[in-house]
Amino acid sequence: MRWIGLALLLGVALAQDPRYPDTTRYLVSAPDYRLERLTLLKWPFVEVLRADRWKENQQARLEGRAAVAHEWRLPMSDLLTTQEVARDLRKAWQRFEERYYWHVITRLNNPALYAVYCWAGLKGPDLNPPLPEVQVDVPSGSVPQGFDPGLGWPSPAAQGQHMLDAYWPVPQVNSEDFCDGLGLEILPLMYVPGFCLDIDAIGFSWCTPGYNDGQPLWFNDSAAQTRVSDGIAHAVATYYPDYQLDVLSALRPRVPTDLSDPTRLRVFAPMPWQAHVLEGGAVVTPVMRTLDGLTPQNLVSEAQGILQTLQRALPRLPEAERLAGTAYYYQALNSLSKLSFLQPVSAQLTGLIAGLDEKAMRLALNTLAATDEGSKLAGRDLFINHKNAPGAWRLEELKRWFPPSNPYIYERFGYLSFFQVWNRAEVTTVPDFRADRNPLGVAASLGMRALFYWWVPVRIKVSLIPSPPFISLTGSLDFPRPIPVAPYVLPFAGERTYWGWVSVPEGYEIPRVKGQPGLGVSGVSIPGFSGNVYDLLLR
Amino acid sequence: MRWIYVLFLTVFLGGGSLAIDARDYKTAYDLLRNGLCALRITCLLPADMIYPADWQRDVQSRLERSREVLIIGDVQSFQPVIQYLDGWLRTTDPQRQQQRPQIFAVVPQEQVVWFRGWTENRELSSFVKVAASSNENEPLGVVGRTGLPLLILDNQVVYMPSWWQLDGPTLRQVLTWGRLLVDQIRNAQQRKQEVK
Repeated sequence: MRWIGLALLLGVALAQDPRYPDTTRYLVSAPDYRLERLTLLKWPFVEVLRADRWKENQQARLEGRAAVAHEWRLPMSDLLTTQEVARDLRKAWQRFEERYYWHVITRLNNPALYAVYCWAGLKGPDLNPPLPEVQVDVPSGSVPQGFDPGLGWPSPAAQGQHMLDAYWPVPQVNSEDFCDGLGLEILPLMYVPGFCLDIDAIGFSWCTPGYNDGQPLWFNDSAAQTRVSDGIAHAVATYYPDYQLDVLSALRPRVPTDLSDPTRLRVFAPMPWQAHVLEGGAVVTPVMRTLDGLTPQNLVSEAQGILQTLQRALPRLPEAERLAGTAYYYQALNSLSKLSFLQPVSAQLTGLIAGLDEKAMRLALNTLAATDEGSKLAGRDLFINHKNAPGAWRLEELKRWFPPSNPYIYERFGYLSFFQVWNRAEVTTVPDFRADRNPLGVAASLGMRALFYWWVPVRIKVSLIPSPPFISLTGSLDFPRPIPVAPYVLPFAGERTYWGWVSVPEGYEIPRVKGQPGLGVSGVSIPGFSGNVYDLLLR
Repeated sequence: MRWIYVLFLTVFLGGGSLAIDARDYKTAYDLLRNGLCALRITCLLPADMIYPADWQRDVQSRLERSREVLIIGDVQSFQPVIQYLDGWLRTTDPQRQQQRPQIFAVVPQEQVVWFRGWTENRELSSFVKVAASSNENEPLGVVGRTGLPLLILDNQVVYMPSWWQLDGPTLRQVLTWGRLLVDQIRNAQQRKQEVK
């Protein structure tokens, strides 16, 4: 009976043989993130490995050649500071968006809006985006094809964040940010207003055709087109490069000068691996929650969160792994509860694994190993692929859904979270019609940022009076009315910076990165980053 | 009833395009658009429009004066253009040689070989930049996979092979960005050599 079960299991799993390729390159190798380092005034760091270079190095050693660089140390950053970086990245986009629109609309509606915004300096509140939420994403292609634990495929934290928090009818940036390259332009004449003639005495009223539809008598469409085109060209030439600079300055390292009070440290230690630009990889840094968030109670709730993730995913795995999975977190929690500073909550931690028995857990792990041996006889790596993917790969890959946490949890559960920044090429509108999930919100933001020329209708009142000149003319201005101008909404096509957090099981591939950490690419340099900037952190 | 009239006009003009050349068609469309709007029938016809283009009269005459040629999409669709450019690049007429254009091409990965004759020729390679858009690559896929082959001359006019031309204000404005994107994709392609 057991053999039939095993055969069945084999059948299910054969379809899911992950075949981790030998070319898997960027691995988390030897994390050294013990918090005990802090008490020695040393900052935690992790080591990462490039598998192909490691092999080259082995070969070089055998042949007596010079060593090949294959392992690098990345200091950790604290989670809160990476959130602040994410906020700066978001603010950089918001600044670009505001400058782009207000420049084009002011240029188009020169001189009226030029006077209002550039001379009088009418301005709304400053851009002040809230701290972006931490959300782990699982990039497509980072887990073996066909593996789906039913936890969904969360998108990067930056998805849908390239928008303003509120679309005000006034600029949220200073006038000098978007009035550059503009001057007062009275000519060319942009329109001849529509007008109405009212002679009350004889009950006569006549308006130019189209007046009631909001159309002027004549509109200088080609001048409007030229102004919009010039505005867009100015944004491409000036504001877009500024956006890229803002992104770079948001990515500058934030490194303390001494480590004497580890509880107050705010560290952002980005590693360009090799750059955030297209085809350059990503800028990454391992993250952790620092000491001030590390209360025993927080630790319990983080462990609980991880257990919930596991409990949702385990039912979708083959039976042997379901049992072994339970054993995995049993071990992790058991060793957590034995930490001395967690003594006050150890009862809660063991409560999470109540009813599980250590012997049974060990048995489950042994069964998994034995079943795997069976699969090896058939020439398959059913559960464990020692060479390129340590541990039972399904249980390991599950960790990609675990949240960023503190080093104690990382160490016990065997994973690590990274903060990543990378660019994507995109063709869209500004504001992004895909950013807001709510169609009403999209309509509202696009409406607030549509390209209109505002013209002012005139009402002329003719009254007859009993004394010379017998006629009096009074003119009054009606409310301004909009004429939509092509392309109606601003276009965007180019690279845009995304950010997000990913979790990587120990010994597994780090997504999005390329090449060699710290090298960078030509033409892109992060201010303040140099080869020895992290010397203090890596002691 | 008015809509039937509009439909009739459009079909008539569309059908007539075989007989009249593109410039007449453009004039006719502009008249129709403005006329319908003035008559208060509809103002909804877009200013951006696709017109049929004549290879010799429209495309080639534009191409002759171009300083910059962007080719995006399937190479097969651009045979006449590529032949024309090849003749131009290899010309011996010194004056023509002076005016040789810069050529950008964004084509599917497997078609890059088509341009070897230019890119591996030491004299010609400075005029030509070829970027491959591969399918497996998410960031670069956007352009190559639009599925619409485009020939863009001096960032102003767009032709689609089998020859239609796009024209209108929106298109010209969007092209300002399009050029940046093509630049960035070209840079990313070169970066692939650098990041190893």
